[in-house]
Amino acid sequence: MSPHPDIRDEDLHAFIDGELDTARNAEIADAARDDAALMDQIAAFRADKAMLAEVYAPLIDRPLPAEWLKQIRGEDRRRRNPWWAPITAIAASIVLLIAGLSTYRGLPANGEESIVREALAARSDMLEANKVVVVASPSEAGNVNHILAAALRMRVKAPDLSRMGYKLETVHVYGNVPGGESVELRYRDAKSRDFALYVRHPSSGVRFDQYRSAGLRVCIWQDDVLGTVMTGPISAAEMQRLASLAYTGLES
Amino acid sequence: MCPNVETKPGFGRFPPGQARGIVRCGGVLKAGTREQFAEALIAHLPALRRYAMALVGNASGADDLVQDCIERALRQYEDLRDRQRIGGWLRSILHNLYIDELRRRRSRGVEEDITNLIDDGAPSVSAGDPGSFRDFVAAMNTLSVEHRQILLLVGLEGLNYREISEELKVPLGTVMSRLARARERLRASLEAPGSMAPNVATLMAHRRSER
Repeated sequence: MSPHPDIRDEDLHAFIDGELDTARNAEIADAARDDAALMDQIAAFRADKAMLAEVYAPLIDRPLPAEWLKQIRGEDRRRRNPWWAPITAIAASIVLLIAGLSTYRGLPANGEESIVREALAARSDMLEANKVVVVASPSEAGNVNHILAAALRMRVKAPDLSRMGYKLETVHVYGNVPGGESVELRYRDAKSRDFALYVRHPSSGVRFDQYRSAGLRVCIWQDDVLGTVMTGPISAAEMQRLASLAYTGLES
Repeated sequence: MCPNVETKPGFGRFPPGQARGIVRCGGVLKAGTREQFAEALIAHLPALRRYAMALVGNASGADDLVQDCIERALRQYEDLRDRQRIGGWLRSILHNLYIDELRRRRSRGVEEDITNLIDDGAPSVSAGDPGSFRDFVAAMNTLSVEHRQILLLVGLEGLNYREISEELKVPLGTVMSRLARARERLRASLEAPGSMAPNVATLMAHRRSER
């Protein structure tokens, strides 16, 4: 509250922001010269205003996620489609739905996105697992690593995501997928959010992508040796960190 | 469809065939082609994201909000009547989404405290006291959304009162009284026991020593 009886709070802040007309500005400046409390008050508010800019302004330099730029430019292409595009899109959706259902039933599906469909089906328990292991304690890590390595026929281990607050809860092993078997490692955090890491041999080339689908953040990270799909009800930033930790943590 | 459409030479830098030019409809400068809108949107993203981070107080929540804002802006870009006002238009969308979000209380990801980003990324931080910065952010986060919003529009976005009045669609008097209340609450929070944020005397002394 303004310590000066003739100066309203609103005028005091308008003075600080240079929003007053010349006459009123001069009146407040004169009053402040004769009133130490008013001078201190103005200094305090000016300092807070300066601090706000100092604290937040540098955030503008943070690099933008490439996904956003792709989304904006990709949306352009979609909107330039002709009038019959919606019909084509519906037809394509039906084809995808049929392909998706085929995958859920365990039929092999080729193509880049089949790994994502499998991962989403596994996450929603629509893929029948050959084996399910409930991980009761971290001491079972050796056993889990053995299961993982046997299913994928390569030296890999279950990533430790405890740094991010996630604990490994279950391991599902699936058969009849491209490359033989696949594994889903399902982690849970204190808020009961599930982060699923689906791993198998890659079905296409090197790929990294992240997007949101049906309330889930999906990250595909694939190289010549391993294909992984990570899903969770999490933000892009959290997925970025979890994906890095999980992908590097797979290395035995 | 506007009955009185007039086209003028475009904003430039666009490939032949894509540039449809500025469309003047009833005297209002409209947003132009979708491609132009996309470029303008990208140009405003860093500031929008910064505003979101400051408003929300954590980075992951802010990024989700910006992404939602992008999606809505792309859907509704034809509603933007004046491309010059895209910054305010985007902030309004973002703010509305944020309010919806708070109402829904949708579960968020693990929140990355914005002060971590400040520690990591801000070149100016080394000159200041990280504890003070942290307390300042904490104090900001105790304020209502309305108060944070108006403080950011004045102190970060550099808008004048009239521009804020137009953007928030409230009278000038409301802008002034809301700003006064917001600053008083912020100061009270900073002066609360336990805050490491500098008091006035310290800050002034620090600034004097820098000169």
